[in-house]
Amino acid sequence: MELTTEKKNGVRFVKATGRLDALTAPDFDRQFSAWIVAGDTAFMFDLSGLEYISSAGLRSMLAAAKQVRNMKGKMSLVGLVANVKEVFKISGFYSILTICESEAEALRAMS
Amino acid sequence: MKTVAEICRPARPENLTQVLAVVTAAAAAVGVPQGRRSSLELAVEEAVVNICRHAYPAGEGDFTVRCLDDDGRFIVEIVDSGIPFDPTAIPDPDIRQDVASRQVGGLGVYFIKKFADEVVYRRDGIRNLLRFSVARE
Repeated sequence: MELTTEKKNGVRFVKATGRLDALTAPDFDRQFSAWIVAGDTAFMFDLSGLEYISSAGLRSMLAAAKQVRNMKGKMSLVGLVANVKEVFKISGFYSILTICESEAEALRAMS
Repeated sequence: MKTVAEICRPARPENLTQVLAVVTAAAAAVGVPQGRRSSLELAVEEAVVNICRHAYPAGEGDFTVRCLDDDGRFIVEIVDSGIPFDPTAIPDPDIRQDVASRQVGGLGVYFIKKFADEVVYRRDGIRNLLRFSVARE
């Protein structure tokens, strides 16, 4: 998994590519904690390049959402590919995370 | 029913990638479509991660993943000789809770049940045997 990122107008944009699984989830957790420590509170995740996510990856996403919530921040996900979408749906994550069809919609949800 | 792939490795997470590669290649070779190969990968990852984390609390052990091609089904058998663990007996997580109360965890076994069919567990002497399948067509 690779995370590329930039900060625009107070929002941390993150593009995740590859696989978020039991092996790569700890890297994601470490990186996310670093952003939190650095003071980020608004996150937009572009998952269009994420080809696979397992329960370990979902745990990381949930842990991230919990941290953001504790800071009264915002977090949106966009660009989920079909099998990743299915994993989020089966886990009930559509009702606990902000998952949008486009970046524009996600930014509206965060404003 | 015929065995189309078999891999035995020490129960350590770094072996996950290779095991998944063997399973997905075997599934592709007998014509399991891409979407179902993803489902297989999820189920195998969850089972293998459980074995690596919990099967051998006192030390090291191995696990074996065997892929079988049956009439219309692709079957995976995962065997370890660790402590008895029946994933089919674990209750499903409550997926309706909100972000605050939702537990971080409990989804692994649920994924095996959701993404694979015919999930069967058997304790066979000193071994755990977990078996599941996906439709081939």
